[in-house]
Amino acid sequence: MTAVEKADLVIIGAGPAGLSAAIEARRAGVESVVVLDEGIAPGGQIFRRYGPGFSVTDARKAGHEYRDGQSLIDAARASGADIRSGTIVWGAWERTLAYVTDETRSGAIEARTIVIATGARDRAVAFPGWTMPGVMTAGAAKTLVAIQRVLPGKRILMAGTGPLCLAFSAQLREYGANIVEVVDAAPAPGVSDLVQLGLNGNPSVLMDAARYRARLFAQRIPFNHATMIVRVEGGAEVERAVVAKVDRDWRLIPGTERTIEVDTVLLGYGLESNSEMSRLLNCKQRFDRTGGGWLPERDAQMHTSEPGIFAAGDGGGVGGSRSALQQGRIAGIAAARELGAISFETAEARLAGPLRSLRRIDRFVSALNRIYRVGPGLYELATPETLVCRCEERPQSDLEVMIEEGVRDLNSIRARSRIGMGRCQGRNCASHVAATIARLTSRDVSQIPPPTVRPPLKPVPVGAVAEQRHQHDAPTQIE
Amino acid sequence: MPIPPNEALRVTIKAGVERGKPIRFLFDGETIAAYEGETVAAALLAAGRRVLRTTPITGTGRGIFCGMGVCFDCLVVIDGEPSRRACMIFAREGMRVESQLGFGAAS
Amino acid sequence: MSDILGSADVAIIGAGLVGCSTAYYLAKGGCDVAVIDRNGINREASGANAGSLHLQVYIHPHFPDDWIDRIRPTIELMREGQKSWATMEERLGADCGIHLGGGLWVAENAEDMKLIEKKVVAENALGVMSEVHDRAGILQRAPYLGEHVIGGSFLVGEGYANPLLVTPAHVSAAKSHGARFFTDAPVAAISKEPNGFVIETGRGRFRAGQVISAAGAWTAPLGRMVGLSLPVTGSVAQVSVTDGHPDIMRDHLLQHVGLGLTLKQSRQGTYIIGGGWPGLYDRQRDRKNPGYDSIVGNAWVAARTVPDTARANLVRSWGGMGSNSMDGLPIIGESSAVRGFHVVYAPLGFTMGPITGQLFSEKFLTGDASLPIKPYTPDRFLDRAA
Repeated sequence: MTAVEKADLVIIGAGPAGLSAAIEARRAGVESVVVLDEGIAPGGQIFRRYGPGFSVTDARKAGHEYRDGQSLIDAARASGADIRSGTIVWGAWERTLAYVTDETRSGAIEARTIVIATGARDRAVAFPGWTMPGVMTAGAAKTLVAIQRVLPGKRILMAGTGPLCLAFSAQLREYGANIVEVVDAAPAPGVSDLVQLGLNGNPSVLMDAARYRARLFAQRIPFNHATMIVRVEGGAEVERAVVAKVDRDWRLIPGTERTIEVDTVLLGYGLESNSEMSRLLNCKQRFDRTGGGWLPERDAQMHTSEPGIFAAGDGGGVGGSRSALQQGRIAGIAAARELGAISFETAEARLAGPLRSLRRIDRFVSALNRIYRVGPGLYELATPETLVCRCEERPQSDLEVMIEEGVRDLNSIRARSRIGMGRCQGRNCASHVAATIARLTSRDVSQIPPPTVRPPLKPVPVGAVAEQRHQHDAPTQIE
Repeated sequence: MPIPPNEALRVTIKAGVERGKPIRFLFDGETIAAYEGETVAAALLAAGRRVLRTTPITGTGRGIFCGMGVCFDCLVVIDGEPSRRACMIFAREGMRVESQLGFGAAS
Repeated sequence: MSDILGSADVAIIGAGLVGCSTAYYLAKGGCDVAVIDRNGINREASGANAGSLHLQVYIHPHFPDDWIDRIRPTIELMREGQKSWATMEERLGADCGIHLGGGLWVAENAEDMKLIEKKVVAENALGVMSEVHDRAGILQRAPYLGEHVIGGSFLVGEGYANPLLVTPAHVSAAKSHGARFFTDAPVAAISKEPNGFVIETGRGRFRAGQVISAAGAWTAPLGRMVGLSLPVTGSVAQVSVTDGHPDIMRDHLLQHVGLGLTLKQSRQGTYIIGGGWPGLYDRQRDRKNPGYDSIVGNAWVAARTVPDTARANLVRSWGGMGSNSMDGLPIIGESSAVRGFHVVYAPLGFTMGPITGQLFSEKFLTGDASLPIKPYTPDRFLDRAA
């Protein structure tokens, strides 16, 4: 394979983990640090920048995460890392990465070490009507409101779980959104849960949650625990939502359905790691029920099972931005040590602080993830007509027929039914398919391997991929 | 007379950031008023246009779902190019956007 | 291995298209047949190819001059095979994704055009009525072609099918006639006994009166188990597929003489890009993976031949273990050295799979096949050491 370029460290993703890895690696003296990021500007999801056209007139008032993000981005730029935006890594062979930039140009880069910092995505939930315009993820709404300054709809139902759901609803309200109701599928946290959270973490985060709850209450926004979305109804777009009470496994309690008149439903049922890159790189995986699904196995220093490959941030396991920052620092330092840029002793010294911070943060995050873990009922909302594969428009009934016929792994289901073959490459449906297989075959989801990942990791234009060939060859016969 | 952007769903910004300059683009032949810096999806949402395409097999409407370029549901035709993600592309003055019917028309 | 897996009058080893179509024809003909596979059905080349249904001769400038003469006998097989494809969905009562809009070979230079002309002469002589076209003519058939194409050939009746549906359709039909399938049963040894064969598998011992090897790229190691030399070698090829776009290719199968390309557009509007580009074999994990140079090269040929593909997004790619026999010809028939052991193998295994299975089964059931298959006997390799 003709690799055009070489780098000491390639970081995939310019969110908090990727940027902090870049900063630490450069600080340690690693010569060539290249950050490949899909976004038009660095920052990932949580530190997303405004679109070109918007101007920031006062950074302190520009939005919740704006300032923190800007200082991180500035530091990463100042560090001398080569941050390439608009760049999609679509393939990996050993440690050579193929990428497309701006959907038109392509290239390959051979890395001595790699940090996978690919972040996470909102969990997709399949229920009747979920494909209607008006149903979107909480993350989509967050970007619309915070970055685009456009409200997602006129009458909004927030359906999700956990304090992020609560916090975001309160923030939305502050932007002027009409939140009609907030429903959290988890039961109200019990005293012992609160004690766990308090013992394990930052009490101020709990205080924030209490404040958000108080704000919603003050605004008379109904907030209901142990309640989940059941279905959405309407003509061409959402016109109303039906919710119901659920038990501890998030299974619907019969006779508790009620209808809410809304035009928008936001889904805040947690995040799943973008671990596809780690699978493409053959990193051994483990299943973490509460931490984002299939994740690369890592040691304390973010090292995966593959030599020279690290994973940091939500892409290695969902933990939030504070955790991602520390993980990124650890990965950057560990990669620098592996490259010989710093000695073991220097590395140990620099790792001590972030490792300590991370331990503290992660205890809290783990406790939180456990309390707000997704219940199996979340994957039991689809009726036979519900489209389980949005891209290929395949219904739940197709999936169940396959399973009944004995097709019980994700690759074969994809091959036989087209579920997972579309542009989203299974990101919206893989968890639901796995949960359905598990349910119908009396197995646990952890026993159902994720689908095999092959290039391209993301859809990339044929012309852009072919462009690499134009650069180097005149048209010749194939040998 | 200039068409004022639809303000019903636009956040009233009190401080900290300013929208880009007003621009106009076409959606299915109709003029949509927007601001520079808004994605096609956001601008259309603000204008009350939530159905961005109809699917090839069932012909049902789709709009924004993930908002981050992963789900490929928000596909529209932009200046004749089909299957463009509206949530990833910024609206430009004079852009010609059309809702995508199925796969979009052949060129 | 003391566990008993089962027994049957006939055991077919290999649950690809050749094995499953053979099982269908034999079961339909009243045989008690079982199919054994080390993995699941349709797992190897049968399920991983690009779905092309060839009838025009496969040519390349680097093939030897006497290539067409060498494979002339198979053209008759392919012609019969085409009829088999045209009636398959009705026969099996299942959707196989078969679309036969016609097939094109295109050329970008004068030498490659000469190859096409030579090919068409040979094909016409055998009743395969392809036509040569200049640029204007080929563009009329295929307006989607790019500026580099100077001409080509067109044949009615070629097209493509969906490899993910074809073998399963044969399995269902075979099962409806009583065929049984034993998957996840790797064969470790085969021993000949007075009354038949004993097959040792990972799931236990299987007894069979007769054994049929339908092992595709694994024909050689299977043959060695009974002391036969069956020179078939595997090689990984790869395919990529795009997202859906408005239909422009009219159910054609498009191939390029000088550069590696097979191209078709499925019912879902996706472009399926192949052409024999070499893939990578991860021997340790037994994975057939697409390689970078091949993805890029294949995409490049697709984009220059059909410019509309350039704006489609690649969404998936994969590799499969294709194979060829030493002389490029099928292997069909019973071994006279090991009585009761039969071989069914087709080099263009997808296109020729069903007809190969059919002809073998005709011979097996009635003593006669509807086409001459003597040239394909496994005995032609008897002089070779296993």
